[in-house]
Amino acid sequence: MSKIKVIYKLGDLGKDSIHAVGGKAAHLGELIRKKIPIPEGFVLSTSAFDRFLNRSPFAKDIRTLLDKEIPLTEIISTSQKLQNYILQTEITPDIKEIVIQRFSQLHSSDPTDFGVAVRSSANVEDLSQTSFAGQADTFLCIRNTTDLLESIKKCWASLYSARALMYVQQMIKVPLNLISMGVIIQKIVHAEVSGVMFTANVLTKDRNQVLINATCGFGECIADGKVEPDSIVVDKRTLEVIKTRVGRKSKMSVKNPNKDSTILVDTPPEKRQKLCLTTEQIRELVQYGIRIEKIFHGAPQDIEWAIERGKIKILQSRNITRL
Amino acid sequence: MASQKVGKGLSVSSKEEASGEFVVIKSVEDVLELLEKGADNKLVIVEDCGTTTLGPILSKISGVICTTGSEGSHLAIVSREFEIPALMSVRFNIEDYESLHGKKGKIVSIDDENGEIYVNE
Repeated sequence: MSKIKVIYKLGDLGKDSIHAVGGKAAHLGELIRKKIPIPEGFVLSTSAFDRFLNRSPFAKDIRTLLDKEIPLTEIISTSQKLQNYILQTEITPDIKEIVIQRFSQLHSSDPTDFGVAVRSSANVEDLSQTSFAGQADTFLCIRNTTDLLESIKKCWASLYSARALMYVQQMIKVPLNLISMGVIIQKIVHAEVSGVMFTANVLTKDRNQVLINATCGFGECIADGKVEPDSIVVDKRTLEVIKTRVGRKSKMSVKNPNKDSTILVDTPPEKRQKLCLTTEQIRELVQYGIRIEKIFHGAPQDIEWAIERGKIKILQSRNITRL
Repeated sequence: MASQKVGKGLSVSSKEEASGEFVVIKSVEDVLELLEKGADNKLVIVEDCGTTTLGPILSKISGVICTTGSEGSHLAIVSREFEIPALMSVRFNIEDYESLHGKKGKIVSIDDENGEIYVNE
């Protein structure tokens, strides 16, 4: 068996690493190289996933299902089969060992430590003009190795959810046996405020404007659509705020005090009625946006960010697929 | 043709107007059914804009209506990929929006940010 690289430090990656670790992780690595503040972490390679599948007791069945196009009428049942195979397969000892070791370096048992985030990084993000947005699952506030290993398997399994299989076949149009996924394990940002920033105004297609969505607490509820966030439009050249809309922000996502997960709670009324970012923070954020866009050769970016103790952290950046 | 305004929301796509038949979608099964029957010229109404279950029919449907979400929601992102009009965080002014299922109507952007939904009478 040839030696494969199971794990990479995010900081060792770059734009050219998409094949090895998927699009999201490769982009994060590139940003770390360019001194953008990214939470510390590592990534399980696409080869680690391939090895996991190949060594599964169900390897043959999995291959048979992935080697042909799945008829629409069989998508749901095939997805269930594939996901069950993955969840019933043990992670191989070599992968387990190194994951646990790296996790212990990243996470302290201190109760104020929020743990890690487990996020997907599929290789298909680069295969076409599609974003793969919202296809695979993310797990937040993971604080022990049992949950970590389970979340990694669930993250892998989400690559074969019915919606992801449909998306790959209908939109990306590549054979299923070519898709693979890296899994990012990254320190959780204690987010006071977080959100999404588009370095072009996706509503008007104006590349001289930046559009920001911001809300209180963890930001995954914006992508999930569970809150109506603040919306801010900024002139990229002058950094002047052109337009603001205070969102309802009725709920916010926080660490669940009783479990290692996040929970939606009512946003305190005083936080709902005003923008959750200061003008200073908006400017600083936009400056990061401009820098990141330059790093990716001027391609407008869709950036996830968070603010921890007043400091901006960048969680993800991907190209805006159509403008 | 006379039409009645039944709701409004945030317009999150640069495309401004779409008309067609309203279809309420609640699950992957509903998406598959619509794929089989034909999703052309449908205005799809969904509650969850985090998952992008609508992916496979986005190239066919004429517009998206979602009761939650904003510009940064996953569904908004993929709707823009397909250049179809999408309204998020929609509030209906009718009691039961599911009663729109099967009726014809349209969605229209009224400015950069807002859009309205009309049903034909």
